[in-house]
Amino acid sequence: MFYFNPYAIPPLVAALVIFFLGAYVWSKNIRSLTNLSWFLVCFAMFIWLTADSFIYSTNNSGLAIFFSKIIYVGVTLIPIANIIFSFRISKIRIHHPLLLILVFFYILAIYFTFFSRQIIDGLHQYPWGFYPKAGSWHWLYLILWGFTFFLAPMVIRRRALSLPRKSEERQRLDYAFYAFLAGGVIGPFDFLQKYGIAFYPFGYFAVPLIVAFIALAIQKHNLMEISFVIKRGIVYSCVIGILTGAYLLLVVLIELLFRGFIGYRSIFISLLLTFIIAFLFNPLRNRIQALIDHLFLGKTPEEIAQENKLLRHEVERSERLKAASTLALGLAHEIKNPLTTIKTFSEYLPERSKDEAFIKKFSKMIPAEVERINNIVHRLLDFSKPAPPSFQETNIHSLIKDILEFLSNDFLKHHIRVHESYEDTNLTLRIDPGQIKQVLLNLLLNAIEAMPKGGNLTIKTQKTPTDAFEITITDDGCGIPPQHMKNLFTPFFSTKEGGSGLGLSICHQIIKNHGGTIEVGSKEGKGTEIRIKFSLSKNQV
Amino acid sequence: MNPRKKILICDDEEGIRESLNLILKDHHNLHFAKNGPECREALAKDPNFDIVLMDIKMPKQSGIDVTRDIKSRHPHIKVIIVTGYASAEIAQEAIAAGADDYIAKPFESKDIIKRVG
Repeated sequence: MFYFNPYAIPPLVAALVIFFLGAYVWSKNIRSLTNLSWFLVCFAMFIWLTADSFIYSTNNSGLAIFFSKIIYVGVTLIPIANIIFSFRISKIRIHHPLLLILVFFYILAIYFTFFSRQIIDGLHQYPWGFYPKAGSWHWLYLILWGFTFFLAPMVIRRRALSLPRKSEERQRLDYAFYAFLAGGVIGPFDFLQKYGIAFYPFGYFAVPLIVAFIALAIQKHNLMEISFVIKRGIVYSCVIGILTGAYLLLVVLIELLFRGFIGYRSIFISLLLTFIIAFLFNPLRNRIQALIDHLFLGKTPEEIAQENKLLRHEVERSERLKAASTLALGLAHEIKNPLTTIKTFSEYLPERSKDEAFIKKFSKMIPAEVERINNIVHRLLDFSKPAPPSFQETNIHSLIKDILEFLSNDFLKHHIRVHESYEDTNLTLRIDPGQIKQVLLNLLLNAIEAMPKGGNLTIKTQKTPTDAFEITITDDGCGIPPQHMKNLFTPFFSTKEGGSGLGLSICHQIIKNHGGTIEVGSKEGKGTEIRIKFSLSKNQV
Repeated sequence: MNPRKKILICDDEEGIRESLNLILKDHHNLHFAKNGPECREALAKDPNFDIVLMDIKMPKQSGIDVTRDIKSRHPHIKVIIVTGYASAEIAQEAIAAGADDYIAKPFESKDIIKRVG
């Protein structure tokens, strides 16, 4: 019923690659209609390619007819899914009347495919296996298919041309346009064999091309908001796709040559040939892979690893400096009060030098104010220097109050009311004060950012029954969308423009180094609660 | 010389209160409050003040809120904000709350004398 046919492998691999890509993109944001519509595109291609693979692998004509119909389900779905996807990324409503009309025609097309002989009428038998034969209405189907298929790139192009040439969205759309154009130019060649024109249906070579363009759009221009780490996965799945295509091309060409010259017909020789080519192909594959690395990432994997390491250090440093500069801003304001006192008193010193009461006040206040400035500067220096972790006995509540004091200007500016509730205010913990300050600062800055229109921020400490000391920071801001929850501590995951995506991952690392835990609970639109727990047995002095 | 005015200075920092005292005591009658509630209490007892010099960042209540309150109860009192948080947004907010003037810290004594009048 089924036999091993080398021609059946490439469409199957292409099917799996495209399915994997689609599912991956969708799983990254299950609620996004754009990602779902891309999955639909991939799924339609998956149906077509899988059925293609099966039809080549069977020698039973009944089964082959069945797979022909399944092929047409996939082929019919592709342009519809393309249109939905292109509408989504071009920001056109999906409830478009044109789409409804097309869906109606396609339902008709599938009906006639299954229940009549007007669209598929039997089979062709080609050297590479069975293939569906066009029925008498097939040309009508072709017109409908062609119209819909070219509509997708046209919709995308129209939207792209309305955008500035260098804009990110324009470039994203350009890649999607090339993807569909590549599919549109290569794909339709697979219809010719249905009319008895006997050349190998290479339409699925379009698949790696589509994958490549969409992967480029994801990689370079953040299509569907896929983050950095995932992008690399996509690039590599794309490598597999492209390699499969290239490999198959070789196999087919060489087999055709052999067949032409020797006139053989044996599965054993086909198989042997496949392996020999695979063996010879290996160095070429490495070359291609290097080329692709270079093309997509501009570097070899070793260089990328090295660069990532440097980048991470650099970003960690810049995160620390960013925190320090926020503090500096708060401190600059704090310094103004003692400066005012010093300035005024020194201004009046010459005319009041005989005034005993003035001199008494002067000698009391000026040194105290200078000392205050000195303290402020020290606090800032402590924060900005990249000190190695040094655990010391620290009053955790003074540390919290210190940070709240630093941020008081920001609270004021953003209309945020701060509520404090502390337990055991004399508690000292063995922690690295600099690092814990960095964590609290980071979390509080996030909370401020989550409440652009003001709100309530609660900071609470308590001892838990499980022998832990817990700091809870609660805001009633915008909250975190559920799909982002699991990535919160993932390095480089960021939803902020210009965000490094390292803030929370560094917080997580620091708390972990302290033997503690950090948990986040959030409801979109309601607010976020962050709980940091230190084990008292480990951290208490 | 202008007539002496009755001024309430509201700031949580001793240094600032002392500085303003130094600058203004020879020309005006000064009273002091350390925070918002004290300031309101003083005004409730005696609303006959001409001017309030108001800090913004104070522990119990922001000077902006206190200003809003003063202006709703005693619209005749002139409120001058004196703050280290000199930014356009804060100034705008202070004006929206009803403040009449705005002085940034560290201030010039001449400036204070001129604005108080």
